[in-house]
Amino acid sequence: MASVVSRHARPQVLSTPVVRQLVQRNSYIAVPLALLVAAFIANAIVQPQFLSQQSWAASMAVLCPTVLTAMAVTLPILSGNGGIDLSVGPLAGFITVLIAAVLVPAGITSQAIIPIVIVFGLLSGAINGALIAYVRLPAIIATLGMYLFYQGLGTEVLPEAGGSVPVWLVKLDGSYGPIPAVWVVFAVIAVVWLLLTRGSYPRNLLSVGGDERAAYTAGVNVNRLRVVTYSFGGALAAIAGLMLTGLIQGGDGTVGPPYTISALTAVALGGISLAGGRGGLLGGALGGAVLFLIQELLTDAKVSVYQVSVINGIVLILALALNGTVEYLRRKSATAKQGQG
Amino acid sequence: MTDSTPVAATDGPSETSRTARQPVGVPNNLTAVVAANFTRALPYILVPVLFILSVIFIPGYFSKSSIISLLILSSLLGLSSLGQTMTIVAGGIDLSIPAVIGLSDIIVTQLYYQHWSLPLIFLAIAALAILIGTISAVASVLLRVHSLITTFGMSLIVSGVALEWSNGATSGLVPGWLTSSVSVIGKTGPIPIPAIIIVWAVGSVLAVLFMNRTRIGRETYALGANAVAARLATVRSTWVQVVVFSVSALCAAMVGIFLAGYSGIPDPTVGEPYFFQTITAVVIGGTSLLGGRGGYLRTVLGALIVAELTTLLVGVGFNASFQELALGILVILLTSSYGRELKVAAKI
Amino acid sequence: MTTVDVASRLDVQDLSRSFGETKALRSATLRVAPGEIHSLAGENGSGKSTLIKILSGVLRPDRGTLTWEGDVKQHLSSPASAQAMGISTVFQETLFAPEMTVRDNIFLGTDRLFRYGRRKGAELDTARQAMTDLGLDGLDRDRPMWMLSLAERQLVTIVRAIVRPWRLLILDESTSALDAQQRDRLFDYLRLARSQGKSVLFTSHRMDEVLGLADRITVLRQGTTVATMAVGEASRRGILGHMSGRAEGASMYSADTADIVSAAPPPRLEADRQAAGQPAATAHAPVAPTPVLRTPVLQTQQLTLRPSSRPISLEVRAGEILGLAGLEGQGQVEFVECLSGLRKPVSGELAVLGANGAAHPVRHYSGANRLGIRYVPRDRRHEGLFGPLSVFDNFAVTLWADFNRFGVLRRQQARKRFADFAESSRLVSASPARAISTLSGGNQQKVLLGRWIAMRPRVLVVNDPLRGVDANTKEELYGLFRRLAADGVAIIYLSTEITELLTLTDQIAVFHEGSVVAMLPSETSSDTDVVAAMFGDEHPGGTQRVGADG
Repeated sequence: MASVVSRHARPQVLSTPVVRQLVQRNSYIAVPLALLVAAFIANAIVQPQFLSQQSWAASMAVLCPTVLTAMAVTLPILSGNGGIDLSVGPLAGFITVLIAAVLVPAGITSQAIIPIVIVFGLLSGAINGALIAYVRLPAIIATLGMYLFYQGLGTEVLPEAGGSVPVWLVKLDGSYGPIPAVWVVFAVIAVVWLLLTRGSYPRNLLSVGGDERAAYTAGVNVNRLRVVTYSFGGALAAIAGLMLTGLIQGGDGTVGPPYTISALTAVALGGISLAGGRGGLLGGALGGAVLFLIQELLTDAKVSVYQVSVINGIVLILALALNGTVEYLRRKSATAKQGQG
Repeated sequence: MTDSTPVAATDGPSETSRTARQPVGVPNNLTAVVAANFTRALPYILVPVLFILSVIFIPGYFSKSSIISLLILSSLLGLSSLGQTMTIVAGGIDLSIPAVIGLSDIIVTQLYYQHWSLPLIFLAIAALAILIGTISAVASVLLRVHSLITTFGMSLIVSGVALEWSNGATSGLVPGWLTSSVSVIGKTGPIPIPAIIIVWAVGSVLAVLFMNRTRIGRETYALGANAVAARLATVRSTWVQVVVFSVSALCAAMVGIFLAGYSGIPDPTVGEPYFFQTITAVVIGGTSLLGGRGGYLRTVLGALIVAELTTLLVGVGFNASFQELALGILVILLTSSYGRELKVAAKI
Repeated sequence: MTTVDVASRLDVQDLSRSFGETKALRSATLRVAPGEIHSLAGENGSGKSTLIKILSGVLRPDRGTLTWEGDVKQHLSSPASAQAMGISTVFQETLFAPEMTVRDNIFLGTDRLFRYGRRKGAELDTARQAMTDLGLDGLDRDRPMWMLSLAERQLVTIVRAIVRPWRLLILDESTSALDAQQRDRLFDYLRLARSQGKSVLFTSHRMDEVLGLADRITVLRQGTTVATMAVGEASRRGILGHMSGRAEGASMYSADTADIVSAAPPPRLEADRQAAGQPAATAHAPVAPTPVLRTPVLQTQQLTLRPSSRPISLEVRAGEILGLAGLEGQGQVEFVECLSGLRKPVSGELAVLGANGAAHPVRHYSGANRLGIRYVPRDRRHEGLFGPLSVFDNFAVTLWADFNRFGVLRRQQARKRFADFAESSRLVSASPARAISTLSGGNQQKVLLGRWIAMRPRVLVVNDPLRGVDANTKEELYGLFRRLAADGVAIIYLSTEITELLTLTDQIAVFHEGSVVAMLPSETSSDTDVVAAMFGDEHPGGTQRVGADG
């Protein structure tokens, strides 16, 4: 009797189900990881002090907002259906204004700033999510509107860069002993993220991104998932703003837009498809790190600021090509292995 | 563009049965019908309404010079959104418009300063624009990615080139007639209207005809409606993309030239406001970002609306920051009334 | 309408629902009892899908009540709440997340947004059992869905529905991609569930399924329930009659299409040939003159679909309708894709034969098109329809290449072509400017067929074109195909419905394991012959040989 089921290759020694699934789901980071290693080595070669402890901490401090905004954009993109968040940069920029020009003058200078900022980010993201899920605006338009809103609000509240920030915040961009403080921040975020998402959230997110109709008819609350996703993104962008405040040691409503640009570049470098449904936060983080390393490399090589932009664009397109090829090969090899179903 | 009608219904009224139907009298769902028609008509309504509001709130607005000023603003926006409309209808988007505007501004001011002949300058800019558009299109097709990210990458490259080229250059030159083409007091021959408005009017007619009456125009709609079906239906997908992105770059280049006339000095960042304004103009006009629907006529309305809004905000006395803030809110509000996408349930 | 007095699990009264101006449901009534398999019958546009969406929590009715196990409800607020109540639905379109694994797709939606811990053993057992019941036990649950075949995907969505605790299972055309064997297993499962007191509501356009599986049948027409009957009281004609509103027994086919079938080539085709000017080498106007009698137009030589399959050498003649049959995944779809240039065979040649017998090889899709091969894709929604565009645009998309002067469209000619087609295919449409989404499924399919027929094919390759089309539209389209064949078009007709193949085609090529195991003359073959061949019997009627290992 003819079997109606596609046959698959006899599993090899290494291909236990767990390993195979891990590899299958996370194969998207192969290229960004390779890029990261390559960029890292290139930097170490061009500028040996790169690996020194001092420069390390400083690098991490600059890296931090780039990586965080990249992660902030990754989540909405994963949720599919044209999901994106253009407001991450201006939100981060506005947070610097919020801290330096609103909270500090109002007398709030302790670590209480942290939860306030995070809640602000969650709410901002929730507004984005609600506009997209319930009002059903296209994500580009909704987040573009918020982009303009935060740009305007930031420069309105604080027309000139300035303000003051508490010392502990600046210290966050230094080191606790031998460890850059930023690593602590990342570690905390990683732990929180892992806890939150050990269960079904990532599956639900990627399913909605894969086909929201399938998720909806299967009983997933797609709207709520979108709101939650954009909220997480907003929180990450807000933390980016927090770290940025320490970095620039003040408030500045105009620093935001470049971070939206770098976030989108990082996402492409990180192998995340704009269509959604495939990838993870790690991709965004890696992409941000790669982007940062490229910037460092170019700065060390004394490339002019304008040429950096050109090179970023070229690298972006090359990364797209690379990721696309890997994807194509992955699919090709998978279908070849099993014959026709 | 309403959200009450499912896109691909399998439950339309049965065509084959000839049995008597209910007499068509008052539609069953009156509010839905009225709402649908109202939202489709809203852009048409907003144009005069905003104008009237401007007249009310801005003293001395009802004059020839302010109207011409408004039309110049709309023309600049309308022309830069022309190609954007096509790329959006084709199912993509062009984020490189601001960069091309800037590059074109630099090229025309610098080359004219170096005594190049104008036709040659225009030719060079056109060729460059077509090259940029073609690369964006081909990259999107080959890499199998959405044009959002490829044009984004191109914008990084192009704006970098523009900035590099203009590095240190503070002076440039533009021909006098170019300046007058965007000036409120400019004339086109005997007609007391600056040339840019005429160009926009002609361009609008050509654009609408192009999209409705030519093969490529209809293929653009097909591609945006369903890319897979388009390929199977022998639509020349890659060629359509090349055309629409080249047109977009050409229009951006044209606007860059006009803007050079506006200010006279080389400014590679002159296109930056157009990043969100072109998208806004298209969406507020009523064309869906999903592709396959809408058209340039709607973008004309959208450009007028955005121009009127910005004029209103300036005229009422808002500073730059507040203008931005207000524009962001207004974009969200306007799109909430008629730019909404379908519910998940409606897509099943 | 026969009122049957049964204690009901689901009682739907007077349900109505409109979309803008369209009234999809006017007054739907339905009663499903426990331990019953109930069939919902109706043409496209009768409101079946709308009713099912309401029952599944996807839509809300404008009016009417639902009584579920005694509880009266105004509506179901979401699919999640429907599932919580015990209603599981498998929708007409196979919905799945392509990058997620089979396991994840099966358990999709069973977790809340944030749920910790591993899946309980009991749930995994239920899934395993369900997969075995439907014949999927060999399927690797870690495989991503995009790697699965159409039938496997559909089966996985059915598994998804049945792993939840359900008391009413709704199946909307859920067997469309399955082959006979898979269907039988599903039906066995359904009968077993019925014996356990569960209820099933299903829709199907296949009368044999309806009559063979259902206990009771409810017929919808134009959004209203017009008949309910026990299967014993039902007949094919009777059901069709209720569905279409015509008197019981009257068939559309007898009256009008008979004329069409027997008619000589209609004048318009002649005029078109003249209007198109001289025959071009790239054929939208076939190079051959009016094909007289059965000259071969398509030829395969040693065409091998898979490394392990036998080469296929056959000839298709003008005016011939060649049917393709086979269990799911046996190569008939690959064959069709090779014919249309979408796929390269492992080896062998495929060529279109010109007037003088010259062979023009088919290399790729656009080349095939230029040679006059037109492929009508199977998935209307994803591969055929331009949803937001008008009926005319959907039809004329293939014509613009010809009907243009320096790029500017010659719309008059295209409009005429459309009018001719609308008339000959009895496409009832108020105006071609209507959005195609407002048409019923059957009429949409007509427009899509028209798109390819308007290009004057030499060879028309169709992949299950009448899937999901109601019976009456099917009759009209059969007439259309017969007329095309009479005009000299060679038709390659792939279908999963054996009856359809037997009535429409001249001969049937049955596929098994990538090879053609039998070429059966349709007139003299029976259902059993075809089925036997599908299972690998190369000489149906002779010794029953069980097919190659599974």
